[in-house]
Amino acid sequence: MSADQNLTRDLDQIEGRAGSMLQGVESRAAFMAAGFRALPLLAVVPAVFVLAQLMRWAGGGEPALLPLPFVLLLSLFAPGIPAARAAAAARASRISRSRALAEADRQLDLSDRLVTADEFLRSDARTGFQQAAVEDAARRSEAAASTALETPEAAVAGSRRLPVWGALSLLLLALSGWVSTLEPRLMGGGEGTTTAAAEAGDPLDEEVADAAVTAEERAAPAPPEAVPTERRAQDPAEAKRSESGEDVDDSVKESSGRTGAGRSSGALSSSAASESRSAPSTQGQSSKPAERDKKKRESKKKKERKTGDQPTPERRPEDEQSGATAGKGSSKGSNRNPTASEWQSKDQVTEVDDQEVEDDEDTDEDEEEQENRGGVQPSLRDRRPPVSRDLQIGFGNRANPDANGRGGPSEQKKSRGVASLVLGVPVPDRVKGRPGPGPTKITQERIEPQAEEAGAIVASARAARSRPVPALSSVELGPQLRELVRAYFLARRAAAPPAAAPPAAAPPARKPQ
Amino acid sequence: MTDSNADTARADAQRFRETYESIRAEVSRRMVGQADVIEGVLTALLAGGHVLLEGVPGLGKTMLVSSLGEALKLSFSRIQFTPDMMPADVRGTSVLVESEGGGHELQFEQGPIVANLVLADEINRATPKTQSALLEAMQERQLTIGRRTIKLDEPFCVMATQNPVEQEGTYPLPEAQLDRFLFKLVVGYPEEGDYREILRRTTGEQEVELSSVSNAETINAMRSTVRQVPVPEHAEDYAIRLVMGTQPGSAYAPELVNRYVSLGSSPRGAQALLLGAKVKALLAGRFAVATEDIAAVARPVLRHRVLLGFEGLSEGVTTDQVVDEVLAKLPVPQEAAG
Repeated sequence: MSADQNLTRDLDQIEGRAGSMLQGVESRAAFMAAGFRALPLLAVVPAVFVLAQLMRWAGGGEPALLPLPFVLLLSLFAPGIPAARAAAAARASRISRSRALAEADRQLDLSDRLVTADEFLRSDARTGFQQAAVEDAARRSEAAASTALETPEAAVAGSRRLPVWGALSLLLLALSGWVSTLEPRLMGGGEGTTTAAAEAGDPLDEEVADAAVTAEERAAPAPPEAVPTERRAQDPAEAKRSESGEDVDDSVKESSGRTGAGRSSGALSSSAASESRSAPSTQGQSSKPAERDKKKRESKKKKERKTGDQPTPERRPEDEQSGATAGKGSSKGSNRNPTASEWQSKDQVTEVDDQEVEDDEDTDEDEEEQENRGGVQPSLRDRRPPVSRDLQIGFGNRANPDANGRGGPSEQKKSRGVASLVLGVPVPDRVKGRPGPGPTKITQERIEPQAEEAGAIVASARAARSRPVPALSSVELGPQLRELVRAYFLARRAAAPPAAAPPAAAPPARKPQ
Repeated sequence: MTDSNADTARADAQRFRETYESIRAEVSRRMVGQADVIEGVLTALLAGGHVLLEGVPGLGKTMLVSSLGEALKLSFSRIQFTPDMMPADVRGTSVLVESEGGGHELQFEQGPIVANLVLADEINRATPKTQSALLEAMQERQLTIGRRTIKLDEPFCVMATQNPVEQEGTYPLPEAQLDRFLFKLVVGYPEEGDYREILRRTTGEQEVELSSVSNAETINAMRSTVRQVPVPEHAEDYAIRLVMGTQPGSAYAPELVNRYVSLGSSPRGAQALLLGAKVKALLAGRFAVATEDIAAVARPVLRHRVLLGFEGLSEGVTTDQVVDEVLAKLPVPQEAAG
């Protein structure tokens, strides 16, 4: 038992050392983890301080609230408080005995011998192997108790954020220092200029405003308390004016960029036109025509930009109108149908110039639109010459380039007349490819029969039997049938006179059923 | 608890190590390299389990098992599994024989499974029906044919081989069958230095003759010694958490398991972990299982008990990676307890 007591004493000693070491490591880890979690407080304190300074300065007071070193200390203390609390909590928690011994096992490379022995020591009835394990641990525990344990590194995540928050904190502290140097802001006359310049956000204007304020402050110092009140009274009205755009000077408008002076008249008209076009929707058409008009105008604008210095031609009213707007009281008396779709309205060309201008650009779009509608539509604006009525199929192997599809295999047929009014899918004249494998040709060949040699068997005389025939077992007859046949012959033999009667006189044998 | 018990335990453990070393040395006379595989096969044999050897052809899987049979002086039989093999070809069947009096009677003819060491060569070439003929023998160590039950002699160990490359015309082992193998050992290519020795031994004039260094009784005694090795509580906890770590959705399963594994290990995996760890502990000169022993056998024990899902297969994740991830993420029980 003394060996067990020695081992228990050694284990206690190892546990104490390893436990206190682990507690220290855990405390440090908790401190650092909590500190890294609280890193944003490094920047929060200076930020709050700067805000307070700015508010105070905006109120006309002295911006310097606290001395800068004090703010710096406060910033450092802010994340330190939760970190210290976490470290204290970690130190208060107890490291379990098995964990402390396991750490010692790990560091001393003892393969769980100490933990295992500690567990087996608590057992009353140990097996031979358990006792051997305890004794094995006892041999090593003395050396383990005297060996120093290394303090493991506490791995804490989040240390990479430290420079970021530290830099931000220093930046804010520098800003705080700069704000502290500002002179107290005093409000007086000429406030309109100051406000306008401040709202414009122009540094030059701000300097001018500051200069004006300083000059007026020297001339007639106003009580600092009255200035913010007056300004607050004016602010809502000014906000209203800025919202409604009424009674605002052009200079102010220009500075805020709300007059739209930089925009071209074309842009204005186009916006107006698009607004007017998107209004009617009762004719079962969506706003797609208006969108297409917009796209076209944009492409036109691009073209105009390409032409460079050429003067912008005056926009024709036809461009700004569409078939969809005809029902809204257009006084032009044009022949446009208000129910017509966009592609139809495009076809109804009123001026030759218009056709020439839009010709190149619209051709591709027309084709795309027709494809989208599911087939080739009659196009009155198709400027290709009409196909000839030549019905011949082609020139030799070459297809007739002018074929209209009615004289034989050619391109897709184009509808004419009533068929043009029907929307439908295009039907090709013929399906390319062979419809079937074609006629089957069967060839029969007549082959003369050829003689084949067959091995002839030479007949020979069969020799007489040389030996007596042995008893042959009748495999066909069963035992019952055999008995029946035997009985029949015995009966015949008994009934017959000694001079045997000819067998022909015997009654016929009856076959067994 | 007496000192004599401890002395007996120490003597048993010492004898265990010596016998193990002699068997390993004898087998290594014929087998060049593959020290891990030899150790794994011997560990499984002494732990009372069966082994599945996986490797490409020509690496000496069959030779290893036959060498073991020679070195151990055990009855050895080899079954070459083919697609047309029937369960009766493995277990045996009743045949009609002529009796001395001229009559006929049914007599049971036992199959090749009735032996101490059974080499099931290319086991995945047989149909699942035939593969299942091994199930009862491997788990219950007995055969039931009709109304006849045959107790198999101990030690009984099935050492199956399979080729991972030629998958055409093969039948993957069912999960129930895989679970019955204590270890799945992957036989890799030999080292460069081993090639010369392999060529010298296999192409020379003299053949290496192995002598038997042990027998069935010794092996059974060694198995009994293994069973006596105690497992401390923290090692048990570690084995349980390791097995649970392979089960998706469990508290110890890492993200890799939850994502790629569709079926984890069964409790039979924990049993195999502890049995293998006991042998490792004895071989390391310890008298109780440590967590490092469990970690050492985790791969061969768990790699065939983890079933990857479709996503895992498509991503090329292997079961060894899964086991390594579980080992890496699993906290040691003492640390987890705090």
